[in-house]
Amino acid sequence: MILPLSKVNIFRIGALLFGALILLFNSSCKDKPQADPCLNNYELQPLLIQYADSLIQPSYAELQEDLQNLEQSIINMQSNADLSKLQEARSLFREAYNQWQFAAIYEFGPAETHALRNRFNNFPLNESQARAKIDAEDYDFSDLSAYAQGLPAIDFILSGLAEQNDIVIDSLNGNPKYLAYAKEVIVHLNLHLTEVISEWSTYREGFISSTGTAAGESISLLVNAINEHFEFIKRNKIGIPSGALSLGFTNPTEVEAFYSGFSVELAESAIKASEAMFKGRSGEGLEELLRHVGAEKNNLLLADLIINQYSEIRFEMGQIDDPLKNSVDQQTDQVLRAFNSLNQQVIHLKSDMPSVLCTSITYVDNPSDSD
Amino acid sequence: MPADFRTMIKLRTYALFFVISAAFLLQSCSEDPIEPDNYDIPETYNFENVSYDGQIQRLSQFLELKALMKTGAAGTELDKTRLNAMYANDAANAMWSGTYDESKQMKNKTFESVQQTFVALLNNLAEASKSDSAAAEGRAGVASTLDQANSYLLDANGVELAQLFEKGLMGALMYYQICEVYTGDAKMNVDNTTVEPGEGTAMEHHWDEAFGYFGVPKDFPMNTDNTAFWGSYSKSRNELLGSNQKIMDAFLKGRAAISNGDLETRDVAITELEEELELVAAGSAIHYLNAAISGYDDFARRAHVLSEAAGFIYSLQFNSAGQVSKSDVESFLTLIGGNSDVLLLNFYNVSKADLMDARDQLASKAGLESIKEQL
Repeated sequence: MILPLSKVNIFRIGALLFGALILLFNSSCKDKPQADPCLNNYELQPLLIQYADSLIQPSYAELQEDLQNLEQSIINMQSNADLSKLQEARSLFREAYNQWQFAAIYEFGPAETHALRNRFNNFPLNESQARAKIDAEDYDFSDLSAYAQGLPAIDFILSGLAEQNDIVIDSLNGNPKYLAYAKEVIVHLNLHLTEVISEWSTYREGFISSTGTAAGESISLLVNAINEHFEFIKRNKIGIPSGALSLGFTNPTEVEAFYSGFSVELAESAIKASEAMFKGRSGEGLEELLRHVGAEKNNLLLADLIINQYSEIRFEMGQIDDPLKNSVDQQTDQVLRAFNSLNQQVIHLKSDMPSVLCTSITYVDNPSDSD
Repeated sequence: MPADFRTMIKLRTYALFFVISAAFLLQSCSEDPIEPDNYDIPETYNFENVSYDGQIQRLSQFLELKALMKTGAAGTELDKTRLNAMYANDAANAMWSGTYDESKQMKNKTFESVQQTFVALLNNLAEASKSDSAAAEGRAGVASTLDQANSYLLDANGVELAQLFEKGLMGALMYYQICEVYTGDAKMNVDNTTVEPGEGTAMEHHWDEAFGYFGVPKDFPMNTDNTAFWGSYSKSRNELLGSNQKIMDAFLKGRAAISNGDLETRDVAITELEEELELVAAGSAIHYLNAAISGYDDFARRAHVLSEAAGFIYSLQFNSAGQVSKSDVESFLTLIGGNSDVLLLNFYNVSKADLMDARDQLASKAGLESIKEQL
């Protein structure tokens, strides 16, 4: 049927064309339309089960084992410390500290209740405060804002009492308060970790059944957790020491594991943990969600962009020598390159990813000092 | 006119309409245009609810400390405890003329990484003031200009620590607080709705505190009396830089913008402040480098103006938006004082050629090449 082009018809065609134009231009403003915006057609439970059972709970179980080993090595030294016992303790400490990076990222639910991050890893250590507590045999570690406990305190006791090993050993044998303090710190950490593990066994059910995308639902917890921790890596592990946040003045004493010196290694573990969290397990993870919704940026799949950026970060981090406290001054440019590549990833993870998954960032950025 | 021809015209009209609509739609994809100003920017800093008493107190403390440091040139021995007490407002030992709140001090507002540098400068100054012989290479003491008109207390390396401290702290304290702290994210991403009587909103108050560190009266530059520190040096450079009005305008514009919720204009004002203040700092450094070049053969004069130049150069690193970076600062200090560490400068051996080189490089970095000879 051929319609004569009457006024009315012209108007209709016009309106239609106009509508089409609006659609066309509106969509051209954004990236390509997503296959499944807001994960409406995605079964989230299998993914949440993977996170709970293959990543989160195992990270705690391994950490618990590492802490128990470390505790035993400290007890072994308490009778009489010698070089081989010290080296044994240091190597177990290093293992535990690296494993902590994999647990640290999941700070929600029971871990948040127990404030694991503050208990385990408030760094840099306030050395004079720690010394005072050691001396006073003060084993009250309930102050979460204190910087005199957790793994940094062990770092100090095992590696910070002197440069030379024999003097460290003499100090440990000469003053039993050091190892007593170290042991109490570990007992305290283990106590809370054990509670987190036990609480997860009940928390799990709610976690895997919370399949929406609103704030507080599990996917939102995961997106927030990966971001908050990634920003912590960027700022506290690299940014602050590098001087990038302080007009180029480096802060070598602000590094993680200041005394033992494996700061870069710990940062690399933390980045590895972040990447593992992004990838998830068995094809279920944040990466797959981004592929499912077809999120793109600059004509590349956002998932690929993030994966590529992780490998760029690994490369840049790999160029930095430990101890970081020296390399911030000796390899400043390289440390800044690593910092910049971490910064780039923050854009992908924090601004690009949440919006395509219809989740929002709900944590508050680390506030700067005021007044 | 045949009917189908009329239809064609109509179609063309429609086509035109579509093109125009499309243009509008395309435009709507980009950022909304900045709204035209619908508020007035006053000519003086007489906004409602302005308070920067803490800044006035710190500038007054600084003036007292500066006056005390200068007495070293008259042979007075300076007390290290008192100098440090003034810097940190330990009232018991500072012996202030004015009255200051216990919480208001210069030290804890100084860029944290360099607080100890300023403590060291004060300690070195006190040490130098003990000397009772004339200044010479390797020996602290007082040096006089060839015409005997002026005397300065120099350390063993020919550095006038009082000047280096003053100009350096202008950078690490006021310039830093304005460019990095009060106009930075932490102080600007704050509440702008709840008005605290006498202080305005949190954002307004932070802006006012930045203004307070500039050291000028509210009706500057109509009134150029009672300026201090940056306000005074803006005045000194004003003829060539036009800095008085530019900086004041930026402060006025930013405050009016904040009070009217126009954060885009506020951010423009922040950028202008950072640029113009850097020009005053760099322009002043160049001015004193020129003085050192022309007065090269008069050692006391040269040491005096080079100490000022070094202080201004050192200041330049406390503005991350600036053209001059920390590593530039280090290389300029090395050119004029043989060391990138401000505590290890030595002005006895610098050549005239190095001074000119430093001046030229700085002028080029800061964008002041065209007036580098006149500054």
